Amino acid sequence: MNTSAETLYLAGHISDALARDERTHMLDVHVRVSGGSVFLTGLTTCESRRAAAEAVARELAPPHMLIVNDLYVETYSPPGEAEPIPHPQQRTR
Amino acid sequence: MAEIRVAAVGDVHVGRDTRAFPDGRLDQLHDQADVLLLAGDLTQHGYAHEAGVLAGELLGLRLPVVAVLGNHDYHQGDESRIRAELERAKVIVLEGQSTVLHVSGMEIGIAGAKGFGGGFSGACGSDFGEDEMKAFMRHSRARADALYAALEGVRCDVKIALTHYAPTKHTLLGERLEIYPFLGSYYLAEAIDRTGCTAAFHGHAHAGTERGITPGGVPVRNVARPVIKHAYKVYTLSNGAALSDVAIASVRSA
Repeated sequence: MNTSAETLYLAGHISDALARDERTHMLDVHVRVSGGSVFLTGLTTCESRRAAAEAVARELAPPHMLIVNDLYVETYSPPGEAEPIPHPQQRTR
Repeated sequence: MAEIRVAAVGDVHVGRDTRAFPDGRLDQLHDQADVLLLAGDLTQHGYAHEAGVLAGELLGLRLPVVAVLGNHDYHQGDESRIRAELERAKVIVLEGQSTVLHVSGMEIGIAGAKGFGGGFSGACGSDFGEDEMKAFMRHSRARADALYAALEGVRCDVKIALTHYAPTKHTLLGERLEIYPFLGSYYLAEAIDRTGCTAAFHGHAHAGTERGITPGGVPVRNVARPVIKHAYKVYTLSNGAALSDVAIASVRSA
C-alpha cells in the first residue's frame, strides 16, 4: 500500500478512536496526517479533554510521528443582544 | 407587543471535569430569558453522574428548563438515568412529548425529540436493504413521527420544536457534506412544517451555521455551543400577549 493511502487510513483510525475511546468520545476533531506528523484541530471544552485526545492519537500513531495538538480550549461568554423571531402570522411571503 | 424570551444552547457536553455554565455564566439568565432550552448532548460520555453535574448547575434556576437528549447522552445506554438526574433538578425532558408554559395570557408550547439522521430530501437513506439500514431509517422516521404527534397535539399561541438532530441542511453549512446524513433528517422539518411552529431549535452540528429555515418557512436555529459561541443565545418570539409570571402546565406524551 502506498504512503498516501497509509496516511489516509491512519487519520481515519485516529478519528475513529477519538470517538470510541472512553477518555475522549470526541466526534468533531479534525485529524490530518501530513509530513510525518499528525495534526489535531478543532474545539474542546477543557484542557483535560485536549490532553486525552493527544494521548489517544499518540497511542495509534507510529513512534516516529509527531503529534501536533492544535485543539483549542474554548470558553464561552454570556450572550449579547437577543434575536427577534417573527410569529408565522407576521412573516412576509 | 408582548414577547417571550427564549434562551437556548446545545452540546454543552458536561463531564466529570467540565461544567456547562462555569464562573457565573447563568447569573444574568433570569433577567434575560423566560425559558431555557437545552438541545441535547448534555453529557460528554453518556454517564448519569455527568447529568448530575449539570443538574446541580440548574437546580437553583427560577425559570423553566426544557431539554432533549442527544446522541452522546445515549452512548452508555443510561439515558433513563440521565433523564432522571435532570428531572430531579426540575428540568422538563422531552422525547416525543410536549409541555406548555403559561406566560400570563400567552401559552408557549414546546415539543421535543432527539431526532436522528437519515439525510435530506434528494440525498437521504431509504427504508430498504439490510436490516441495519432499515433499522437506521425506521428509527429516524419514528423519532420524527413522535415529534409530529407531540407538536400536533399541543394547543398554544407560540409553538416551538426542540431537537438534537437538524431538521434542515441550511444549519449544517460548514460541516462536511459527506456527513450530512448523520446530522439530521428532512423528516423533522416535515413534522415542524405541518404543525404551525413558530421556531425550531437544534444542536449536534458543531461546525454548522446558526440560522436556517425549513422548506415551509419556519426559522431554525442551530444552538450548538461551538456555533453560537456564547454560553447561550436569547431569542424573542412575539405574539401580542403580555409577559409576566411563568407557570408550567403539564407534560403530555405523544
